[in-house]
Amino acid sequence: MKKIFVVATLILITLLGAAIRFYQLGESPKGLYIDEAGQGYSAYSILKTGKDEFAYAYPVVFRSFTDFKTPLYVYLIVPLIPLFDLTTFTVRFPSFLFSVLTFPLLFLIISKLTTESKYKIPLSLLATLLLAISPWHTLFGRTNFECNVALFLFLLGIYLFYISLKKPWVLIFSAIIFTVSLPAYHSERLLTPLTALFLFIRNWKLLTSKSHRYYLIVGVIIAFIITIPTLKVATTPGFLARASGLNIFSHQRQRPSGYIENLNNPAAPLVNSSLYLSTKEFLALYFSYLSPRDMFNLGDYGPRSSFPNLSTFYVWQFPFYILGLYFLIKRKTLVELRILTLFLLIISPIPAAVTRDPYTTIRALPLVIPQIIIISLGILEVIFNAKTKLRLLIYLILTILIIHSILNLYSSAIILNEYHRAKEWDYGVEQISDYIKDKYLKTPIVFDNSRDDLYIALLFFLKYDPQTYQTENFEVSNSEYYTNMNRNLQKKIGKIITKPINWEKDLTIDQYLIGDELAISYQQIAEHQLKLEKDILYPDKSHAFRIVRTNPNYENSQK
Amino acid sequence: MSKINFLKITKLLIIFLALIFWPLSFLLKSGPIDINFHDLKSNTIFYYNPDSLQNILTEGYLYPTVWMSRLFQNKPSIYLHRFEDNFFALLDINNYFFAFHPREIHVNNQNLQKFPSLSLVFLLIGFYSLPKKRLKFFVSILIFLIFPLSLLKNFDRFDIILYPIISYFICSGIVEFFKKPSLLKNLFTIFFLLFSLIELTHTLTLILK
Repeated sequence: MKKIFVVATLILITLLGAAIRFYQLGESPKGLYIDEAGQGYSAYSILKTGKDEFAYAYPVVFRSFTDFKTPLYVYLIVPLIPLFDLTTFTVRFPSFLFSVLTFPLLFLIISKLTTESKYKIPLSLLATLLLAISPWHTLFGRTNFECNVALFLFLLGIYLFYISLKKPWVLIFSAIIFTVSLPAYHSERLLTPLTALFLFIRNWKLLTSKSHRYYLIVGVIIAFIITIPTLKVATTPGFLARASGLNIFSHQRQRPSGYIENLNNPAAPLVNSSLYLSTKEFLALYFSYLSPRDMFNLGDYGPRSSFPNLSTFYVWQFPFYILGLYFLIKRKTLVELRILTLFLLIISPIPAAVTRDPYTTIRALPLVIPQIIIISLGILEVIFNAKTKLRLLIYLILTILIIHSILNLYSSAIILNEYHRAKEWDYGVEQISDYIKDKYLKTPIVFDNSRDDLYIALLFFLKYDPQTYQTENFEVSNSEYYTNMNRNLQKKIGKIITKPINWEKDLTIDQYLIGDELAISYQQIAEHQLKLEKDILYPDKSHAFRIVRTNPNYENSQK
Repeated sequence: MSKINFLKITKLLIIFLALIFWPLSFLLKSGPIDINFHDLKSNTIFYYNPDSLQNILTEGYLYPTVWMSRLFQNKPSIYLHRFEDNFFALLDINNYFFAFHPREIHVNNQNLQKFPSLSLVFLLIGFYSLPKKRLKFFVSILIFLIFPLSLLKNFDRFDIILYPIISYFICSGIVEFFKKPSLLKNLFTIFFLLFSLIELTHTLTLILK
């Protein structure tokens, strides 16, 4: 196939994927989830003061809501703020960028590893195209999720490794990239070492030979040096917070799944044993990532990691997935691509399967790669085995399916997502900030925080001075940053206090009260003669937030 | 006892454990099957549900163009989605080996443990080792049986008709597994027996509780 045609097609596919991810970037989904706001404000704080919101300088993991977020994404946002200002677009941009960069990278990996010329270019281009329109990959390319950046780095490390087999000096860069992927996202903390070990075992003779030995040692040393800051905090409760809180083998918070309550017979120790139940739970969670039901029908259960009416893959891809899987296992001529794809297929679900949540696509994002390759292989097998006259029809059907898929993606990701999921994305805080931006430094405001940590979104949209915030709000000392898990839930932002509304004391002061429909009902407004300043509605016209002004005169007269 | 006899007994025990779950669960747990003979349509995916139709109308107004609204929000899509829900549930590995866990069907489904979890290994070996023609034949029968089940409103209990086919694959896998014994296979056999016995006890305890 002519090189220029291939490059042109790859550029077109990349532009298509970029367009799908860039369309209304920052505006859709509406709202800004607290994790996104948290990372954005942390980046803003680092930019302005060199410290995060808790006045800790350049953290290795970001404390945030004591969920200790991985740091790389936050530091990627920092240089973008002077360019684009602190906006929703800015915090989602790195995800978009690395998502788009993954397309040519995937093309290069597949074409590098595929030796059979019949498959080389078609498989590379087709897999890239399917990734470009993939609902799974698209969602994380349009929102602030660290997993996309981590996936890119993970794949880049793999690609550089294969390059280094012929150019030994590249091994150093592969080691560096693999190491940088570790603080990119939690899943890579497990996947990257496993993959590095797999690649080493598979090529150990070459890597320990004279040509590669030196570069291997240098690479490992540099990787170790880069990891030192992370290793320093690796045993702290902060670093282990996510792992210990979510993993199925930790039974601090709840019983293992399948536990039978009030069982008092000789079988009880066996059937309720943690080892048996946790093993079974892990296997069930693991195989759910390979199940067609989750892949093509149910999708991710989380409202922020899925689009309405759309699964992680399109339904029409299902038969090709089965075919592709069959041919991948049976056809050994694909050699290295086959081995790598099967390896990624087997290990990618592991980090997600050790957590309780069923089919969580954010933690299993690397799985999209082998599954896309398998589907592409299935499609190619159908084309190659079809008679020449039938191929035109197959191309036509595939074109129609792809166009339909893009429209389906638009329908779910833009139209339905805005209508149904605005609440999940914490829509409304920007509108609140617009309303109070001239008031919050002069007039007291109570912002109800009974249900969520929306203070961070207020900080974000108001672009509140980080220095002032750090001074006015203390949570933990620097020495306890990674170890003290207590939180100070009451925050001060100018004259705003975030706390649950006290319906006795707060009404005697002239101030604004802000809360959702549960916090401030129409009944309470009538009962206390409050003035409704603003009603913020979700796109589906249900109530998001209310801003009311207290009536102290009336309240005092009632006493 | 000779080595061959011991192997034979072990194989039979594994086959027994692998195949006993579903019939036992079906007989002990299943209640009467609820079929509306006066309105057969209501037993299929074509049953009337005003909420589904209302959803179509509400969401249809969100689209910028009429053709797009009709493409994605239409009456046939209601039935298609119901069919897909059933079809993929019947193809779900977790349905048969983990009682639908972690995504149990909470309405009108017993979420039975149909086969021991570790017999999934034998199923996969069965799929891999069967000759291509035979594999095609049995997979075709499987799809042929799944299709009408997917048309039902509630396929639970009726899906027992898949038991013979899936059992065949598992038994093929067990036979293939025992062709060339090795240390790893012996270890797995012991693990399988222990794990499945606990699982059987667990399943029976849940059913009889």
